[in-house]
Amino acid sequence: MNAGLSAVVDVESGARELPVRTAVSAASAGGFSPVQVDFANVFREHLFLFGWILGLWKYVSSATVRHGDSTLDLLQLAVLVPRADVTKHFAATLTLDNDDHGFCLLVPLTDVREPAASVTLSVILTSGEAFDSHWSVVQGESALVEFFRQNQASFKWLLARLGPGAAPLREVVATAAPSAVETLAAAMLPIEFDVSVCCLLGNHVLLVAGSMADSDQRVTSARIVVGSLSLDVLAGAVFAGRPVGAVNGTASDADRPARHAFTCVFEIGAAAAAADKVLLNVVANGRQSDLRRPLVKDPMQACGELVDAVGALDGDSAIALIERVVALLDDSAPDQAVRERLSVAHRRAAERLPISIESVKPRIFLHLDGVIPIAEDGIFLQGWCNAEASELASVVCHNGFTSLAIDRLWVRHPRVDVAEYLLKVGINTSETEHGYSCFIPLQNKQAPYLLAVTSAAGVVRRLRIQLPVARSPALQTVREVLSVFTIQHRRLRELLDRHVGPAVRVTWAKRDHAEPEVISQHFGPQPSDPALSIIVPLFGRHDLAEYQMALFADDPEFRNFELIYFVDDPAIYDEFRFQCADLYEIYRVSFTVAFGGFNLGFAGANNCAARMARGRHLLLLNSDVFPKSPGWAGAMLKVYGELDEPGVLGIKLLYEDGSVQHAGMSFRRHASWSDLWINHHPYKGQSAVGLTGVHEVDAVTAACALIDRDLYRRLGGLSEDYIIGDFEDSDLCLRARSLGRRNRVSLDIEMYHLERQSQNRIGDSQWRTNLSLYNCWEHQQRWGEFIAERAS
Amino acid sequence: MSAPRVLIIAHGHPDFSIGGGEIAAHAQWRELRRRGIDAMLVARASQSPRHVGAAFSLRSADGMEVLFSAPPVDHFRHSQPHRRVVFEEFRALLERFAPTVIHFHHYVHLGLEMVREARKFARDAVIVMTLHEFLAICHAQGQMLKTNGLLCTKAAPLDCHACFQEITPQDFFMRELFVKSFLTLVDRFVCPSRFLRDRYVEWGLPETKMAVLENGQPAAGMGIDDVPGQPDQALRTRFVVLGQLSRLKGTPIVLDAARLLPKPIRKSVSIEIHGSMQYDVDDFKGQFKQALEGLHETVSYCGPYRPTDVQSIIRRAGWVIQPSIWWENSPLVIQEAFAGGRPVICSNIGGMAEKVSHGVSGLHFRVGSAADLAARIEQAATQPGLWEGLCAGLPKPPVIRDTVDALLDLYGGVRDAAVSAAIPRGASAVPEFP
Repeated sequence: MNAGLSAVVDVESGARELPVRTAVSAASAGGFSPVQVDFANVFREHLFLFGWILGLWKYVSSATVRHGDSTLDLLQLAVLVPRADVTKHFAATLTLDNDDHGFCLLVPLTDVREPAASVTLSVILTSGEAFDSHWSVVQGESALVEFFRQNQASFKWLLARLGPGAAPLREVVATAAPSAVETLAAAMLPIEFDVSVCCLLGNHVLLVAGSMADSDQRVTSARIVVGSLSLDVLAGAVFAGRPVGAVNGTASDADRPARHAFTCVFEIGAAAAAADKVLLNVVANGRQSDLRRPLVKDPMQACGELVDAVGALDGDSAIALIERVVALLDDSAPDQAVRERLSVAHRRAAERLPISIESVKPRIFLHLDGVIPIAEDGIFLQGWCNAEASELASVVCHNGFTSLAIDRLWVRHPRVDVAEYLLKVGINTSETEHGYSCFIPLQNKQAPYLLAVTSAAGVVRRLRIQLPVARSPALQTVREVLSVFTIQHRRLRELLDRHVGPAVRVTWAKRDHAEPEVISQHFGPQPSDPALSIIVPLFGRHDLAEYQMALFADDPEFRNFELIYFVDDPAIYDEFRFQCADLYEIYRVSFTVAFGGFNLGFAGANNCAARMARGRHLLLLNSDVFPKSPGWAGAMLKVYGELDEPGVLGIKLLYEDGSVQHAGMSFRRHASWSDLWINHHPYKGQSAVGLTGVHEVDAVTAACALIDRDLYRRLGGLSEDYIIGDFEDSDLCLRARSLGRRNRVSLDIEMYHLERQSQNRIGDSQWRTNLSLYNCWEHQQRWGEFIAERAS
Repeated sequence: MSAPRVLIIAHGHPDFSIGGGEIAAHAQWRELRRRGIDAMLVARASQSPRHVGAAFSLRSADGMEVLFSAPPVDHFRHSQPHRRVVFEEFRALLERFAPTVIHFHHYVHLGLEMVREARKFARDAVIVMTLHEFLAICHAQGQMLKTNGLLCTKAAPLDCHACFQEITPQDFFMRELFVKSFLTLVDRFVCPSRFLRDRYVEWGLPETKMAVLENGQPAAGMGIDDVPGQPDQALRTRFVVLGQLSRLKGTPIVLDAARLLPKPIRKSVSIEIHGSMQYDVDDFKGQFKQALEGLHETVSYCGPYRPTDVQSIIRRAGWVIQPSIWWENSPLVIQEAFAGGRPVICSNIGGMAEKVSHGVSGLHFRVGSAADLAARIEQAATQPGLWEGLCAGLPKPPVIRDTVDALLDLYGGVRDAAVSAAIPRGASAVPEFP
């Protein structure tokens, strides 16, 4: 039946004679059998098959071997063997363009008790033709030894290519021909490589992953052949990561990737993508080895293989791989599906990353001291970084699949504690600015945040940024961001402009902003058409209201005014309100008490009260402002009524010793305050004598400010973008000016302002300073140019 | 002026607390009653009869001597936190008694709100306040003696803060504004000494509202009508100290001075100390007892005394020593001394130096100086003719009759001035606004 096919296979030297085998049976069409099992043997609980299928590489879509109860996938499990002899044999009738017909299968038996005496080979061609053939199985080692003796050269070839699973085979050979062992020894050292993943993602991204041992071998070439494309594994996109189980993130001696596991990603065209199989050819120590694998194209399965590949890698390599694949994906639906699966894998891979980078050679340290989530708009990072300048190519923040280079963006500052630490661990560095602060406006809170540091040699190390679990209220976030610096920071302005300012602004803008539910209560008869509504916010010290009432009690003008005490402090509301009825009985000053339910802040409280005010004018009055004598409010109204283009009117305010607290405000800049425009109070602390008359000024303080109610509403009230309280007054005055109104101060009218008795005592001075700095900066953003244009 | 109806408000009742102000208020009230004038005394009672819901209770059956168990006040700004007691109960009392004159002898322990309530009740009522010390000006018990022991001449927020570090200058200023907002409702201030008046005018009370008027004592208790006979020379080596004994009153200085006397003088003079230590602060009592050791040949502590015994105590001695280390206003002891025909050796400051004329009605010694007091004692005991001369130069102390005569004039004067000037006290016309 198979006469003529008796060549011994020898790839190197071309076709030889095959041993003559007696086929048990062979189904054939067309007079020749397209398959032959040259040798089927069971030995040492293994099944060994050696044979060929015509056009195995190109024309066979499926080939299975049934032995007893087990079914083996030949395409998956066998080593492909070039059979030039087969090609030659069929050359007369067929033109075959390659020798890839042979196969060699060596598998452990599943059922060792009664190994079956025959195997059935089922083949389905790409054309759709299918046929079975049956072959007898010879038992025992001696048959194998005999086959070996007759085909030593081809065995050499086989043994060089079979993996560690060929050990039983090798042992048999060794016992059979001990003298040949030495000659075979060199050939018997396997090149250990395997392909575990071979799939096509999204129709154009080829992913091959496997492992390649490199202990004492030098792999000189590794190529992947798919369709007609030949892709260079070594030079192309290779990620040779550390195998799973190795220690992650520790400093390694050499910045050379260890080549144990490899993964490669290639973009391939449609032609190549049509292929069903992939060939990996590796040359090491002068020897070659081939492996063929089917190409998995089913999207679900392909993604599954990818996730498996990723799962086997350490965090860094996994992410590098995922990023590389994602970079090749486009907007098509299949690609987007892959991308979604990858997002999940990405997140899981990120969890395996360390939270800091500490590499000794090259020296790269990157630590995170604080991560502050900023609303839905990004994160704010604080930490330190030390690296040899020449060693650090880039620092990038990744958020899912978006990224932002931060090594040009962040602001550095000295860290004495870090310098001391580095010295202690023996690192000598001339750098001093180890600290960094950075606002990173990457917004996908569902995707992981990473920092990736790329060394000069191109090695990427990553750390994972752990976001705090609980979400802080806006004010607390503001406080955290504002605690990352002191006013002495050498790049304060840059820090404010690029990082702190935007972060705080967006945090504040997106704070939980419930609408206040105002409750109000009247005490005493209320004027029906008041000329003036006096608005006094109360915070902390509510006894100040009583002091004011004692001084308003003998001012008959107050019968025409609406007096609104707006409680802006939940802690004092009940206590204060409880006294109000009795306070009215004693002082007989009519007033209203209003409460918004929670702290609205200075601007919020005033605006809320303004909404309910009925007076034709509004007077904003601090609770720590006290009249010197009655009639002051009427005097202010008179002056206001005589102004043209009236904006906001202020008066002279005095400290308790009679010195000036306020006589109008102008704008100044100071280098020690980052050159930001600040509200300057001329004459502050000086004698009030001789300061008289009505004067136009840039701005007046909201501690005592008179404004037409409609104008106030038109301007939108006080801005609630400033935090807690500061600069709202100048902001309001500037808005009036931008409408063409003018602000004045009447120095003939005096009151006492005991400054800061009423203020929200918010604790430590660095927080207060930095908050003031922020508000000042925010003010600057809006009005800096406007002020500069008008400054003399 | 038609018969006034006078309401006198006192911060204490002499039956419960001993002090010049309480005594003066009570004495004035009794004199008014003696003249048949409708006068009610409302005295703050430190003892409460515990009538739930009634802060006022009666001391006399006819309802004209009333006790006021005022709830505790804020002692910093003298405000009554239980305002209902003021605008309901006190108001009700005002409306029922309908006084035409309301005379406050104090507001301490009562609450300044009562002054405003009085003004609200009747815009035309005459409101008078007697000032007994500098409490409106000074938070240190109204003595204008700094917490570091130095005498204070002017109150300012910063200085007050230096005396009380825990209270901010701004809080002191607000206290001043608060207190003045009530005092501004008062028509007349009665000052027992020019010294006190001057201090208050400096502080900002209008001079036109100030009247200087001594708190006269009932003649009978003073023994005024007993003409002292020719004083016995032997008395000039006998000295007496009377009244509340305390550091403030200078009692320790007397002991130190005794110790400094030269030996022969120490043997020949005697110093009697009469009085109680009602407010024993910082173990003053214990230290006093200890300091007495070794002085027994000169100094003797005679314990408390009844007001009726004052004259017999004084007349058994030749001199009265008033060694207070604070300014004093118009010490009762000085009046009692003059009534008893005896000159006074006192500190050279304040009301004491005003009432006692050095070399005329007594001798001054440098305030706080035991050595100077010792020198005066020696001089008093030994200088020939000195004592007799001073005895002859004593002024006649005021008696209650004179005081009340002056007060009635004062009340009337205020009413008349108001009527003639047609100035309504209280709210003026309501102005119109655009």
